[in-house]
Amino acid sequence: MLDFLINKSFVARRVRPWLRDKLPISLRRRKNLRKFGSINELYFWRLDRGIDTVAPIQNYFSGLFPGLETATEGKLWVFDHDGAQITTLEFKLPHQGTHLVRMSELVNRDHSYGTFMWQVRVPEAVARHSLIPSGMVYFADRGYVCYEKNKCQVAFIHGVDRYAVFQGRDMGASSLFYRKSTPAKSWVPEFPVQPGMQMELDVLILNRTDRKCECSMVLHRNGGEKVYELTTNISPRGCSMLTVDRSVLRLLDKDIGYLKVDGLPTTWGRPALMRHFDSGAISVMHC
Amino acid sequence: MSLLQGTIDYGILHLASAPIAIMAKEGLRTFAGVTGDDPSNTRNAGMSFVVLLSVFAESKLLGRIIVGTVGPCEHYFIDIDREVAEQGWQDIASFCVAHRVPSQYINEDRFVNIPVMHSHKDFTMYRTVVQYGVDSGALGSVTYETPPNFNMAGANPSFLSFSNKIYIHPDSDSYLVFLNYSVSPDYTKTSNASLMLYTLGGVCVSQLSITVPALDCACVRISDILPDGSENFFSFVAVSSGSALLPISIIVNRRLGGVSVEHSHPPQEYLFADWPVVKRIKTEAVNTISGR
Repeated sequence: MLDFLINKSFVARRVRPWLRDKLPISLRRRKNLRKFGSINELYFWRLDRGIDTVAPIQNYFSGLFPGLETATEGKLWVFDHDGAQITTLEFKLPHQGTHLVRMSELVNRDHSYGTFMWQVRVPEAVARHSLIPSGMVYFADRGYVCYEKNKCQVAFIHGVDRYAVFQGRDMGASSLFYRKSTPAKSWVPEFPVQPGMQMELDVLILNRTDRKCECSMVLHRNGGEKVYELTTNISPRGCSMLTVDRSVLRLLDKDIGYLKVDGLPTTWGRPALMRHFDSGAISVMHC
Repeated sequence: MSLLQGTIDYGILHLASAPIAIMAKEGLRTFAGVTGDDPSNTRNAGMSFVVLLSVFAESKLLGRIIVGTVGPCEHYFIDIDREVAEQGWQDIASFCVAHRVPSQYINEDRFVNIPVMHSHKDFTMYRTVVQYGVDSGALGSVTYETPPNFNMAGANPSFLSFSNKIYIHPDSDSYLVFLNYSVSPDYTKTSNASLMLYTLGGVCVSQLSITVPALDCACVRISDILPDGSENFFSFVAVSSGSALLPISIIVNRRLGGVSVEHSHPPQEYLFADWPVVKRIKTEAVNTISGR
């Protein structure tokens, strides 16, 4: 309601940020962000092509509060590519510690890719810190995930968006960060698709909403010509992996190209790119 | 390629830019991927840019190379080693910044004296693809931009970073690279940073002081400072008072030629809170770790 009044009313556009800043924090925040707690990301995992997915889950509270005892615990949820839950795991997390999760130890090889998330409980000493409840602080875990090829070569990537909101120190119920439907977004990754620089690449897209979405990935030649297009439907909490293989890359001939992804369901839910090389190596990057 | 001449407008220079460590000394080739497109596909339609490469050695600007132009629906990689070699700087260059300047502000080899119609806000998320590779091997890349107001004159910045992107393996070299750059002219502040490495169990196994000169970077090869052990994965915490740094993790598998490149987030990215609260949490953490 307040957003509506500020954004749609007679208030001049340039005054809106100032006006918003003058409001008490509780009025600026939506309902599920008015206490304190944590906000987590949804990540992509895969177990195909000799790749294992490793999540080194870091106790990030120790970095933010090095003077407090931040030993805590966590929980991890694994979903298949359609968003159906496969398994969960609970773990302890020491101060300045990291809990290492190998997806190959949790998921059988019937599943080759999917999504997962984890929640690190706000440590008791942090929850008691004077700034946290009064400042309505929500901790956003900007976790990093590692894809390990042939048990020796790694590629790290960080999460790009937000998924679940947990209140206080709760480890059970959560709500979605994106509770309302937002218009589908497009993204044009800066990444130049340059012939000879990779053998294949996978475009990874996640759905962080509770609605199905339809996304498309288009490979363009520099100048704008459309060379190849794929469309996919992604279930809530699910993901899609769109492969641009050798034969598709050959369509560029000697030209450089670029990708465009349409239909992204959340504001910052940009795709990630995983590249495969002739040597067997991989790399990954967020867009 | 020619060099930019005359007076430089620092505001225009940093509308869309990214500082980059040149990793030739570690046996890596360095590239920068640029485009004229807005990644969000909503702003600046049809705009084209002049691509500049500011190259530094020992905190001194060697020159600003005019690499070319990049327009809408155009993406390409700049071979930074080749650009640097063409100027004869390959043995000394250690650091560079890739800039995209809207074409109307540059005529041939110098800035045009016209009113500036743009600010950085018009180009948020205009990031550069920073890519490293081993000769005849694979490539790894990451996208980032110069953080807004990075080490701006008059500010009192500090640096706190914590992440887990360290991987120890006989076939691999794991590096942490810290970039010390500023959007202000005449920046000279050397950063004295502390780096701590932790095991999975949270035990600090290594502590190191790092000096990062202004307009340069410092590269730490992690296996040089770790005691022998059986773990593959480690985490780190790094702090510095008085200047901000941009931390990059690079892991090179020499057998497969694989490269992993990723940046780390500043603490404010972990905190959904008002700025005064964020600032206080960060300041208290930096002071605690620095023993102040």
